[in-house]
Amino acid sequence: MRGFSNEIILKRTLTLSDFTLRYHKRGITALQVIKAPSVSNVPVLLSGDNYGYFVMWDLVTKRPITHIEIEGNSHIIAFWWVETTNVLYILSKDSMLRIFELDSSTQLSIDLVRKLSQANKTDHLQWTKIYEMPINTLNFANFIIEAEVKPTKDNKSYRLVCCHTDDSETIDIYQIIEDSTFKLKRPFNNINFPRFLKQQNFLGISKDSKFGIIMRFAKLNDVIFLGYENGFVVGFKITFDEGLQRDIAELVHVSNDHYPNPILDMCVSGDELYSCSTDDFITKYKIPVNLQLETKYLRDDALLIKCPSSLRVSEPSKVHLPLKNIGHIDKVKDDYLVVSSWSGMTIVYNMRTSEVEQTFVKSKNNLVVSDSSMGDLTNGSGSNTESSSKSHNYKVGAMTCLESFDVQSDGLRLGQLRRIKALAKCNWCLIGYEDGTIKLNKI
Amino acid sequence: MNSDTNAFKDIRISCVELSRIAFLPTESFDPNSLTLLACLKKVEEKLSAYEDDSLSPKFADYVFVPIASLLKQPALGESQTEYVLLIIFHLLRTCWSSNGKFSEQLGQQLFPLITFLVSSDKDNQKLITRSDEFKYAGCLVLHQFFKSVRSQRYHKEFFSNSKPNLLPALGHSVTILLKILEQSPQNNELQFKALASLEVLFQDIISDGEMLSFILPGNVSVFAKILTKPGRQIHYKVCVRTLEVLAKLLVLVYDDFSLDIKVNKLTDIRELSDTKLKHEINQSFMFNGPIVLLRTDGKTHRDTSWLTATSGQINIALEAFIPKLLKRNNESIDEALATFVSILLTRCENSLNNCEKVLVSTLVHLERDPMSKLPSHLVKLKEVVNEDLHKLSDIIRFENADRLSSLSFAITILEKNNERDTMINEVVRCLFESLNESIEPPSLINHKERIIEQSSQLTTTVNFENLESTNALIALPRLSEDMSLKLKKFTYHMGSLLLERHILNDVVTELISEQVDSPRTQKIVALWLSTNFIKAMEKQPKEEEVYLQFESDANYSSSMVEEVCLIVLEFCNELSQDISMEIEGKGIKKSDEFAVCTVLFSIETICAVMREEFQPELIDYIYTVVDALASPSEAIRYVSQSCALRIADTLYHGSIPNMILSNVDYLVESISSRLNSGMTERVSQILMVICQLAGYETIENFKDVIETIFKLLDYYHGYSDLCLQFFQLFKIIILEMKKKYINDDEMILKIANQHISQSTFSPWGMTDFQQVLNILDKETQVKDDITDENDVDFLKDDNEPSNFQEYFDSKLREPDSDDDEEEREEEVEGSSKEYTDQWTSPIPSDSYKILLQILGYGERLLTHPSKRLRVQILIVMRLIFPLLSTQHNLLIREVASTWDSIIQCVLCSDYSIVQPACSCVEQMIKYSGDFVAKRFIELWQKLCQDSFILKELRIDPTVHNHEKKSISKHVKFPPVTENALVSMVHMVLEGVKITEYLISEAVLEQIIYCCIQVVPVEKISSMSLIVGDIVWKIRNIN
Repeated sequence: MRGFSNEIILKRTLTLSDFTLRYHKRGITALQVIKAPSVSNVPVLLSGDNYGYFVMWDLVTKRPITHIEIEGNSHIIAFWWVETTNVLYILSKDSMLRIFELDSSTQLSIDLVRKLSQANKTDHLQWTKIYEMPINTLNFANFIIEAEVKPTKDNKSYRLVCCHTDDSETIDIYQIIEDSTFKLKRPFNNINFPRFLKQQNFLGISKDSKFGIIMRFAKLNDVIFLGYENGFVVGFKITFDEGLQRDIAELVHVSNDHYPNPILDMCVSGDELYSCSTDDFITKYKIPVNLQLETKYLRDDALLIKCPSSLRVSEPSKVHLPLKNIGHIDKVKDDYLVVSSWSGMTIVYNMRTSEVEQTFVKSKNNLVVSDSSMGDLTNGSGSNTESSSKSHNYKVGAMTCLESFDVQSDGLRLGQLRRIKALAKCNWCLIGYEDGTIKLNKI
Repeated sequence: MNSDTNAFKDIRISCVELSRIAFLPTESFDPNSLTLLACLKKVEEKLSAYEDDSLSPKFADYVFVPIASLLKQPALGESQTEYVLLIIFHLLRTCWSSNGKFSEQLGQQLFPLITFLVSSDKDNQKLITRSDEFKYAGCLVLHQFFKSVRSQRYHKEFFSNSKPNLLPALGHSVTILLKILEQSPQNNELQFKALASLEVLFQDIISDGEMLSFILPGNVSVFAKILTKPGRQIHYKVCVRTLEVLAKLLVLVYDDFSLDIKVNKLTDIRELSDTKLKHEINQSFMFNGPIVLLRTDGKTHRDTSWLTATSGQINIALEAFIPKLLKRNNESIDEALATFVSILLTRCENSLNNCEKVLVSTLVHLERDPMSKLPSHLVKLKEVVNEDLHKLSDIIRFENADRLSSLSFAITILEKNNERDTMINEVVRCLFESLNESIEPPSLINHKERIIEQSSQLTTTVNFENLESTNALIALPRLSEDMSLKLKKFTYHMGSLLLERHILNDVVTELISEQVDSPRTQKIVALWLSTNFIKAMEKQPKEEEVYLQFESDANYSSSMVEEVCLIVLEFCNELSQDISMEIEGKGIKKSDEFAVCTVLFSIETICAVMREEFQPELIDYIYTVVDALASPSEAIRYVSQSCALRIADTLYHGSIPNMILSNVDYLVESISSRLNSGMTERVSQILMVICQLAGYETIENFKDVIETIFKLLDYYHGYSDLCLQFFQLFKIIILEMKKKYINDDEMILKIANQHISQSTFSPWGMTDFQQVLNILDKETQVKDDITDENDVDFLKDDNEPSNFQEYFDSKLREPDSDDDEEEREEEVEGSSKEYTDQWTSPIPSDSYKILLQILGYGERLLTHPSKRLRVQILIVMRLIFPLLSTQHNLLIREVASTWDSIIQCVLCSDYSIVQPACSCVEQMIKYSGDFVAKRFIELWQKLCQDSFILKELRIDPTVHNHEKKSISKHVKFPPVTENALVSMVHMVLEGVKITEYLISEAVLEQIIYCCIQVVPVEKISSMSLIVGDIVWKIRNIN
């Protein structure tokens, strides 16, 4: 009965999208809204697809600003934009992490020629690949990159957190130093939280149980979270250890609410971490910003992990949703939770009123065709059948949100300002579908 | 005096002759004597030969002697009198003209005499009956008399009051002239003379306002009578002269300076009580025009009360004749009238203060102000404008274009000279209200005609590459084009005034913001007005002005421009969405047409004003424009063409295709959102244009739109028009796809041939050397594969992992399998698919899938009742099969699944469907080869049993064997049947190619027999050996 009423709710709140961005020919795999002051004074959208296309979008004109085509057209898994240094990291399925820089020289020359027209500043932006390195992409996990707090002009340093080269249950932390060339250090190799937790007999996990691969990384302030395939979420930060005289991973958060289901996505908002899985709820943890200094630690120096002895499994607050298999999650403002399920449905959920306010779906037509000459034996009657077993909707490849923002009106022409305001005054949910379209939906 | 002497000699005899009669005693004098007349004529004739002022008074005295005695006679005939007058005229002219030659005494004696001769009675009764020649003579003599007097030193005092004895004659002479003027409308010469005489008299001789004021009323009334008469009766030149004389007279009498006028203006509230007091005493006091003459001596005729009384009369007269003159619409009269009015406004501004309004409104109506008087009469001008404004809706409804332009003239002067307060806001308000009224009279709201669409089908294909600017004018509903144009100009003009005043922005903003809840017609009117106002900004400042403009000022105005443009644009967007929702599916009403045109006109105008700045706005407006280019309404198409060209000129160097290409994304987005909200009109048409312009590459990005169309087909397959539209679009898409991926048909055949064995007679299905080479190539390819990819081909049917990667993937899949994560599974599936099913087609699988979908929908809709739709589907299918053949294993699957449905069409009784169906099947056979051999054999049986088309032919070759002649091409079929037959035969022959050895000779013979009835025998017999044999058999043996 409950499923039935859910369906009605979702149907009732079905909303048409406001704009569709078309450029990708293949399924969208990653989306991110970033601030790139050198490109535009409004947030821009980055998108990647499973054919190696990466596009930077102007959300005001709804047009691509610039794009990258990854060699070998390999599936883009995730990317990360480092705002302070104008550098973009793209991880793709050919197990490569590529680093691109927005070409500032062309930017400069254009600026000189056309001082006045800001709109044209983005005309000939180009990406230059400055570095690439192999990384384990056996699972589909993203990665975390953070720039050193104060990058100098000729010496930038980044910390990269990603899966370990061959054990996808564990992670590596690299330090990438960009000076005249690139230098790579690996201060942490193969940090194995599962082993640590098992050793410490945390939660009474049996020694032979598997955590499975790392599904997702997330970062909140200086805490990095790992979502495991068995539903565990582990949060740690890098601290300097007096005893070892070196950096060490300090465990600050452990939770297992989705056990045994895999963590499919995590997002952070304020000091809260949200995580989702195949079940019909999401969990919310409040992460205390300032952890009181612990004195007693459980530690394993071989693994380079320590953990306050007072650490307990965090008590979550669960938010139940009318959807299962939630693959993507994001949060807008204080009240709205936006989630997308494997069924291709995206809902905007008001946590205050516990109501579904909007539903976005991109449905397929009834006639399903296959380009395989073999797979239709089950249906018997040739190729064109109305498939009931397969989902009727396009899958969501990536989803992200853009919160309303304030506009600095100085130096803008009125028309420009008006269009920017139209974008800025609303919250937006951006959904990338497997057919290559990105839908902009007003929340 | 030589001339004198000669003249004497000359005239003497005539004078003597005249004297003989003149001196006759009264009893024997015949006043009508012809002899007398002859004598007078002779004298007159002699005199007329002399030039002006060429003789001495002495000569005159001599000639006048017989005249004088003649005048002593008790009576004189009319003609005789006429000649006497002429003689006096000549004497005045030749002898008594220049200064000093004409004594005052003589003048005083002569004047009453002349007036008496012209008209003996005071009431001029006799004069009316006189001939024109007589009257003319009278005028001549009076004119000459005045002229002569004018030349004398005493001319000023000639009629002055000190000599009252002349006054009756003076009065009489004036009445004579006026009478003549009034009574002889047909004789312009006469009227001119009379007017000239009066002019000389008033201006040069009397020239005293005081004296003239006595005769003024009579004069004015006669002049007014003349001027009010219709153009048929009074020549325009007469009017002009009359106005001149009247102006002189009025100025002489009412001259402000000579009257010493004081205007009492209230400067203090205390004066009000004073004036109230006066009001009780003096009845003639007017509150609004407290005009007082300052002269207090009391002797004069022209005092304050006189002024009040007479100026009222003058006003009445002016009001009577001015409108009549205006109506005559004569350039000379208009000019004279303008001068007349201007003179009065200059010289009698205060005295004729009460006429100010009529004078001002005259200038307004004339739209001229030769002496720039209007700026000093702004109060009255405002009054006039206000009155006109209140009548504006009448002006518009009755299409009074002149009034409109004069109003515009007046407003301009008002605005240019009135710095402090402006009435333009009022103008805008009135204009808006009256336009609303005239466009949509409340009673007529329900009578809206509908524009008949040219066709419910999309036949209007627009050639976007050669649009012409038509400069189309949008006529306002219910108004003529001319009036619309006038109104447009008027509004435009108001716009430039608004611009000058820097209030354009506020006015437009206010106008538009007020329309939130207004009915749509009103919104459109507001938009129309705003746009025309904005049009004033379109004018580019002249180059030299640019240099003069201060930077800050330029910035200010440009941001103003932008703001107001954006407001209007937004309004446009709102409206056009409104309208398109309303139009959708219902057809365009006349009022919608105007609305759409106005929106387009606004977009065009704003583009012209904003220029490059308009580019980013295209996201919202480009579709409106492009959509309108394909509108069924001609008016909308015209306006949109001009709009599109404007945008292209401004932003895309005049190229419409460029404009469309640069905005394909926006266009497609608009189409997509329309489709999503169920609006399908013209959508496929526009998409077709885009496809053709942009090519398939662009379409690939918009697959989701095609998907939306499929979805619409899911839901609305019952609407044949809609489906037809879509299949027309599919055709374009397929053709574009082919253009992109397939170079020519050869390429398809080359790919397809790898799988087709054409005939069992060819070894391994090979018929030419190229195929041998192909096979060899293939073999080496396979070898390469083996070395490269670990026997992929050989292992492909097994589920065993074929290489390491796959092995790895499958291992990876294992732990995943319990948590049914579809996403991942599919990825893995997808990758393994690549190994099992090699993609040979140059068409990427995504695009290939589109073809499959189109085919799938086509097959479903083949049972649709609409014939046109079925024909279109078959045409589309015919195009699809060759493309599908690039991936052979999928082709045969599709052929298998669609075969039956298409064969149903082949068997159909309607030949117009049979034809495309046969062509389609022909393609299917051609590309699937052996695969359909069995199906073809069954098809032939079916054809023989159920087909209608085959019944047109004789099937059994053995029945008609005695008629050898009949075995040849028939030409007597109607075209539809003929076409269907040809297609059918081509289909059958294509089938024969693959089945010739599989079927019995009897059947083959049957088939060939049918074929030769349609296509030339030679064509058939050359197909293959066996067919050739059968043809020979049919011809020769049976």
